[in-house]
Amino acid sequence: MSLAFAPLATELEEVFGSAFDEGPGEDRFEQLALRAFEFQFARNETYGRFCRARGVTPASVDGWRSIPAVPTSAFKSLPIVAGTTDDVERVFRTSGTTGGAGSTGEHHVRSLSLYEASAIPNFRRYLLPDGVRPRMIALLPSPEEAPESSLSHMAGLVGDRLCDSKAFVFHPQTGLDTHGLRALLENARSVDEPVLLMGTAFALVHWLDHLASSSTRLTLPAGSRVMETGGFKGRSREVSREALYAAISSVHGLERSSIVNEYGMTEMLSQFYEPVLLDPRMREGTLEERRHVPPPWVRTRVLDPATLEACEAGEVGVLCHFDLANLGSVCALLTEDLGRADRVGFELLGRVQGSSPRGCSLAVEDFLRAQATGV
Amino acid sequence: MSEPVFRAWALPAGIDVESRERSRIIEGLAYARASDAWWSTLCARLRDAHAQLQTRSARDIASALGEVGERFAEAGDPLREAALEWLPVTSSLSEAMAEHVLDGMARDWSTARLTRLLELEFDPPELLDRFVEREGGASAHVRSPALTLHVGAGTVPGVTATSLVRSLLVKSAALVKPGLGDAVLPVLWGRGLREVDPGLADACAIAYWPGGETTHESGLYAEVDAVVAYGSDATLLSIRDRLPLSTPFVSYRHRAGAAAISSEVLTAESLRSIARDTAYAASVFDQRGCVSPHVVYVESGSEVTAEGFVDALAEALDALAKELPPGKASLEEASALQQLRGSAEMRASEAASGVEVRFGSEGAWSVVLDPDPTFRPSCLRRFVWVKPVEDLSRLPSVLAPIASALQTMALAVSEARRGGVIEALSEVGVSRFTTLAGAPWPPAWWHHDGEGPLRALTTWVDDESAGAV
Repeated sequence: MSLAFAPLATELEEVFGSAFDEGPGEDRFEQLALRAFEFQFARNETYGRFCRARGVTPASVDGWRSIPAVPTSAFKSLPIVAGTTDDVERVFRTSGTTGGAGSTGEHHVRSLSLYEASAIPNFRRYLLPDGVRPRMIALLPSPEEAPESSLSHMAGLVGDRLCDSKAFVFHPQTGLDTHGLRALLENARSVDEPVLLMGTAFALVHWLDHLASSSTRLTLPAGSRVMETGGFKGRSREVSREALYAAISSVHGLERSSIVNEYGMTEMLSQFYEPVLLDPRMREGTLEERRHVPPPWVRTRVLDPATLEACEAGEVGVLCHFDLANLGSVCALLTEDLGRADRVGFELLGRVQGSSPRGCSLAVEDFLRAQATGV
Repeated sequence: MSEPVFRAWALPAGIDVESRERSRIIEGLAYARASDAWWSTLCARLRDAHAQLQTRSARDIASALGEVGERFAEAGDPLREAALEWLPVTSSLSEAMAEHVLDGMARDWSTARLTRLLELEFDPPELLDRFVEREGGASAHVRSPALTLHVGAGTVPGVTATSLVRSLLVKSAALVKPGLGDAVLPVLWGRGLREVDPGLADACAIAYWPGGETTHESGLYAEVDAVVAYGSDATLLSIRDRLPLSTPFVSYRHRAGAAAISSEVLTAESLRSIARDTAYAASVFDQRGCVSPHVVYVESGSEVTAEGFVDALAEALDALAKELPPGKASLEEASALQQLRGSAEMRASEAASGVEVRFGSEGAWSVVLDPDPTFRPSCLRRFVWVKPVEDLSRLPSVLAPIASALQTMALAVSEARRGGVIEALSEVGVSRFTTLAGAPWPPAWWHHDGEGPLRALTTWVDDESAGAV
């Protein structure tokens, strides 16, 4: 069996390209996962020793579920790459949602082509299943302005491969370009071409606040849709998801079912979406009834954080992902995100804070803030 | 048979709750719900009781408080029994740890200790009762706010009860809102006062309510004369924002502790006892105290290697986990532990990182040896960083970046070097130095975050006019 990156990555790209039509089924996934593990075990010596310390080697492993998962916070402590840092094409960095120095995670990406092979079919499946080629308008910095943002990179790919045009209306220094955004939307309306709005909940709230201040409603052309991501993990302004979606619907004249949440993380190259545009029950259901689903090359389990054993269906635990697109770093990831799974997919409950007993000891967030600001 | 219920309130005579609600977080705990008008009536009653308090001497109050406090230490007393029954349920400490913590807290609740506290804070304590002549001819009297609101934090049981006791000691009526996990002891204190001293019982009201869920909270901030609050920066800022500028606000921020062991005291002979004391400091309260060490700095050059110390500490933590087992972890705590442990394991797996890990089974305890001296917060649950430093004289610069978050420094340092270490570290902001074994138990009169515990609640009135005419 070969331990070179390129052939396996190429094979995975082919698998991803046809996966939504024909699998991969459980056997194929298992086989690819074990090969990825063998490669990562051999080419990332740190991860290899980590696995050996947990008593797992490619020879002894009895299935993908037994492959040791690396906690996502480890990406803040050391570079995680299967190979050498010379093999790395791009480093994506987390925005550091907990704030403060030393809290930035890094994902060393060996192949942007493998990233694209995962991102494009997945996005097409859940955001553009009707074959529409919209005008993409991202409330994000452009990939040129934010080369370390995996989200901007993805938006760039989506714009190039799946859309008629692309525009980025958020700038790292000056923030959201509301005039530009408004002009773009009005122009799309004048020619009646559908729009794909992409943005973080934070940016969307900012945009809606701006429109509300002048009581403006800006109905978007038929076929328009919104991809909203992040922002419901306790950061930024407190706006409920229900309120945000209601505001988008009323201001832009969209059905709530045209708003799709994306769940992604810098440490993982594949994304999760709510199949609202595909699944009629989810389209008509409440936001609570929505679920995220992985693409066929990703498996998500819900684990009891005390034992790392799988939870029963419906039981709350931490999400643990296995993403074949992470071939160049590490496929098995233990996240800090709480969730629960059912037959449809999983429900993301975020990082619940404030409910756990802290006593009078300093919370990590407060510590990091103190360190960053010197207060 | 119906399941037992703990009613998380204790109120002045003649005031009853309007309705009650069951906690959705802790099974078996019920709390009071009431209208805004009810809260105003309550505050008025407490103010009346405050006037009554002024007719009593501080020493008399200390002795009545001590009578209640000593019951928590007395085997078989119904107050102690109720505390032992409900502390493990509400605080998520194990039964053995809950009992240990109760014993530690109750040590400071005796008449002797409370009187000593009065004497150390006010010389003489009669300053709280009347004008007392001072050197130079002037006289002074110490007064307290009529009604003080005490807002407790999470789950180091006993902290909120101690805040209540301090309030009554200085004759300020107390409205106490404990944190959910620390509701039991202040409520039992209220019930004990009702039995022992109805006058004091009428000067305090203890009621848990879920923060932010009720509308009366903001109204209360306008109604009370002073606020004492424990909590995260976010909690304290939100309280401060809602207080009238004229209302005194005593705030205790969340803090972290550390420990330092010097090379000359760490010998093959002392190793086991130093490791045992370190394990004890980090294990009490399952490390949730602001007094609990997160990082232990071990000075290089002793006859014991850092690895040797780590092994001894691991052994001691393991033994202590059997004697005083850890409580059950919440999902968030267990997840935080997995993240920190897993990241440490990854670093330990890096070539030549020098990082080593020792983990207890079922998440009971964790030790990570890390050559990087930077202070790192622990995820609690008995997770201890051990960091070698060449010389303890490096500590002030290592700790300076987090000085505002540091509180207790537990020391195992020879007498000859102790003064120098303390001098340098107090300069960067450490406000309490203690021994490893003493770290969890500051005495009643400690200057919490640098301030006198009773003086913080009071104001001095000076009279320079006596004898002038």
